[in-house]
Amino acid sequence: MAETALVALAFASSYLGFALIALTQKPHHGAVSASRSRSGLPLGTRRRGLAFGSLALAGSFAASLAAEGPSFGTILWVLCLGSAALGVMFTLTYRPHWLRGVQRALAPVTPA
Amino acid sequence: MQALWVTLRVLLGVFGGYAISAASSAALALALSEWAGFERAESTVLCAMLGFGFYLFALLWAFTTPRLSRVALVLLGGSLMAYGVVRWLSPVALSAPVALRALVSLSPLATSIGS
Amino acid sequence: MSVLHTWVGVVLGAVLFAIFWMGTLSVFDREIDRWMMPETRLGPAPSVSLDAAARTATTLAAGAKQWSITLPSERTPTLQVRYPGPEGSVLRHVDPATGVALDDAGTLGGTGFIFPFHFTLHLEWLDLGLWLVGLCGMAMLVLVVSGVVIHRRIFRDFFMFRPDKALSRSSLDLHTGMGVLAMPFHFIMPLSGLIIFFSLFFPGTWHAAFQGDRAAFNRETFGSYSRPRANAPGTLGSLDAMAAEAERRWAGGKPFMARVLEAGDAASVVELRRSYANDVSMNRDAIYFDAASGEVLGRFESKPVGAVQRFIAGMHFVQFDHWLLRWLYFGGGLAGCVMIAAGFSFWLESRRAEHARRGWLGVRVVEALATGSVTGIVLATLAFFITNRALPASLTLAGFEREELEVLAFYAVWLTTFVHAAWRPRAAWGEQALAIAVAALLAPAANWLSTGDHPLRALARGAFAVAGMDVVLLAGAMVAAWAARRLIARPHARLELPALVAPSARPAESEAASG
Repeated sequence: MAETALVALAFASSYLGFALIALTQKPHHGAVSASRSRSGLPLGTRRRGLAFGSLALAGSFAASLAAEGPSFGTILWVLCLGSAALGVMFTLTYRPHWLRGVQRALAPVTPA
Repeated sequence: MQALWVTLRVLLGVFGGYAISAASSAALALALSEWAGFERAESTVLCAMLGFGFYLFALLWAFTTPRLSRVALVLLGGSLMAYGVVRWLSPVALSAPVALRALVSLSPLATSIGS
Repeated sequence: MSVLHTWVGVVLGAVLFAIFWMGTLSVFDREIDRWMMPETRLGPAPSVSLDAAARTATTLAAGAKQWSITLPSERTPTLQVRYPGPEGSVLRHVDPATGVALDDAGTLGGTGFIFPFHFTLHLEWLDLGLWLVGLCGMAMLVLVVSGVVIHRRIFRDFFMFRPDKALSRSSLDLHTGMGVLAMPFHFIMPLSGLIIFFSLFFPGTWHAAFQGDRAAFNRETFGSYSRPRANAPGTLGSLDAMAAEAERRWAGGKPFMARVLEAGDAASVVELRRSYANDVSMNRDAIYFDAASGEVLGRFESKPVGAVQRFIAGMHFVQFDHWLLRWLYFGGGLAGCVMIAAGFSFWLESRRAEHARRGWLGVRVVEALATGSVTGIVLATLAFFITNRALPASLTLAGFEREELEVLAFYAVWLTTFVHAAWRPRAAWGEQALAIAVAALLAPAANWLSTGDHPLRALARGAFAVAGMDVVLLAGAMVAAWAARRLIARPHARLELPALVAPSARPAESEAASG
């Protein structure tokens, strides 16, 4: 049971990490948010997004290792990253509003 | 005419690249086991695996180097040199008739896959 | 680099798709076997006594110089007995609960047709198929490297997919998306596949290091203990006792296979191989016993570099028991298939106008080849499955055995798809996608009609492999139907889903798309 939970955590963490990283990019930020900002996110926010996103990806690696051990864990993490990135790609394309919550956490909406 | 040069480059890249990779990996395998104290099986496996990397590099190089003459010189010359090293290190290994026969009847060389 | 990537992709894309497709299916080759060989859809095997198995094996393999038994596993619930026969190696499945050999299934199945297709293309003469696959493996490595080099905006476009744009744009997005996001997989799979065959592709290394002594090479790299025959009758001792001894020496590792060499001779040797169900690495660990006395004659374990090769091979073979990873590998393979198909689509759409204007045949030829090699091979595979369920149990028609008829159906349908693609250029994609949707519905239906197993019943009685295959077939039918609708209704189809995209997201989307 603990192993399943850790694996689920690894996937969730990867997904969140890639979502954060994607949202630092102008076109995806624009797709998700209702704002019409043309200049994208400020540099500080972008850096924060990348930092936390990378942290989440690293956390996903840790969870994989803890669940499966070094060899299976590494293979699982690599494939997990790929599927999570794909998931984020399709979310941004077909259901961008699902990531509004993540975006609000990254950059609280300020009056334009 | 262009098609001819392209074909030549493809042939040189694919076969010349393989030749230099195969010969170099054989030479290295022999050198490691004779001089560097590697066990024969270890040396073989290591150099064969490295051979694939070397071949990839040779392919990329062959298809991105502007001058075709240089591709021919390096790949063919390098193959001959590496083969020369093999024959110099060991009179028995890879003598011409053996090498040719090996190339033609490939299946007996394959060991069983998996179990 | 761009020219290199394009040319290698277009010229070898057809073969690469075949390799990827068969490889993806091979991840579940044993599950496909359960589906194609209904007699082997047994429940979980009870703990099997090797001695009981040996009694069955000696009866089946009477007179053979060697035979092997492979114990049942989760994925293969039968006991498998292998021995050399007059026409090559014979494989018999035995019900482990009763010890009775199952009838010859009359099919090559996933492990006998689909898996070998993946690495030999069934071109056996002079191993040409194997060498062609090897060349494609190197080509795939070149494609990945060149793809990364030309995709300079790799991070900027990391998550970009614009299905609402022109087909050439959305195809390119899909191609790069599938390529980049699964890039470690697309690089490691061809490389590990090549490394499996290191002794075949670079025989010079062992020939040089071992001075041409092939027997020594096999012995030191793979084990292969042997000793001369005694040419006197001998007995076979207790395999269970040998297994217990092996487990002791392997600190708990269990044997999965026992092979008896020089069977019936006084100098007979029993080889026990260690299971790799819980390791990534496909070990070659073996312990050799004197057949009569059970005395340990020798033991083999790979040395460090050899162990690395076994790990890399294991990463490719995916023989470990791990369902999540298995499905992820399957997904990775499918991503590769989509990548190749999208690559073709991009090349065709971006050059269509120009080739038409200049009267070049390039697009027409590539389109026919691409259609046959993408939708064509998928359709041929489905025909293989349907034929398997449609033909009666034992059959010989016009001199062809049942298993040959299935293969014949595969190639006949495949050839037809090429002819169809050449005859109906633009429309062929969509029409074949529709045929795939129909066939993917027919296959589970044929399974139901011929065996009574449908997904719910299979799940209920624990035949997960069968249920899984039927579910994947049905899901594939839905995807193919969606694709067919897109491609037939509007030949210049875009990949958007207008009804499903929320209106509020649309203005932002077009802003994003132009951003």
